Amino acid sequence: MIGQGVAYVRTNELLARGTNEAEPPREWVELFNGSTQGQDLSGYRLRQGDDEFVIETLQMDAGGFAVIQPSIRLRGRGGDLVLLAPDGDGFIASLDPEYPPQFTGVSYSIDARGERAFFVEPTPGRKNGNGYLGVCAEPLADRERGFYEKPFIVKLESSAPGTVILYTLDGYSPYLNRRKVYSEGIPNYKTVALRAVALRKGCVNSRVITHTYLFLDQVITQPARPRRFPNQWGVVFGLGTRFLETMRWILA
Amino acid sequence: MDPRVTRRTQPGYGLRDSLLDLPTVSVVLPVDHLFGAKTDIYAHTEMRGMDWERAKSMEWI
Repeated sequence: MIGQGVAYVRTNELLARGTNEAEPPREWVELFNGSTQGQDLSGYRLRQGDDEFVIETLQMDAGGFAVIQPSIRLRGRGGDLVLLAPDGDGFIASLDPEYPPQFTGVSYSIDARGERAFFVEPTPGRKNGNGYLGVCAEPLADRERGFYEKPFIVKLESSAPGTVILYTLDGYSPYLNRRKVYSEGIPNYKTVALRAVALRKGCVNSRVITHTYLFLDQVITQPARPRRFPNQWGVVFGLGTRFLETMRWILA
Repeated sequence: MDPRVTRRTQPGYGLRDSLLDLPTVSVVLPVDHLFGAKTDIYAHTEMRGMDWERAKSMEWI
């Protein structure tokens, strides 16, 4: 049953793809009490799909925020997230019936203009400013992932003017120091993974795209122990001692 | 690779043909997230929780 003003409490902001650097870290859901009275949310539940998280004790002030770090994983690809009463399936309130795909370290909420928006500087427990309404289009590579025999030049393109493309060729995120700013075609003659991201003012950074280019001759002639690969492969590393202990017990 | 494997094959059954015949998956992440570091996940298969998850890209080639 919805009553006593609890209906004015809603999920207000969420971070579904957290980072260890974020504060508070990882994933969280912000609740907002829009009523003029304090509310007791103890025993209320956050539900996503079949997963539920019970809020043990929570008192909210009138007009106050609360930030919850549920033990359930929030779906990064988007999903439904609802706040439920303790005694039943009564839908209370949510930001959206379903929120869109999310980005690492970026929160999703309703901004000061009343628009659903992304926040590259999340504001858990505080009022929101204006967020980004859109997402940058991914950079396009004119060479697709796959097997190659001859050296080639790969060009990256972005559809919107003013877009900056960052890339790496070593598997690291294009957000890190070793990234390069794309300016002209990238010559390539060996097996690499090209990772690129598009950035533009006023929109959330694009998803990172990855294209692996494989030169089969290099695959065949690669060293037996490539640099930085493990010295040892197999059971001891691969399966772990718990598995081995269990096997020993079964076989004994 | 052992040259005996790469060179002495029947016509049409060479290593190149074989490799191209197989589905290829490319998993891309920083090498120290996977191998050879205090926090790599290959040598720490028993660790659990979000601290032991690593973002990666996976491509079906």
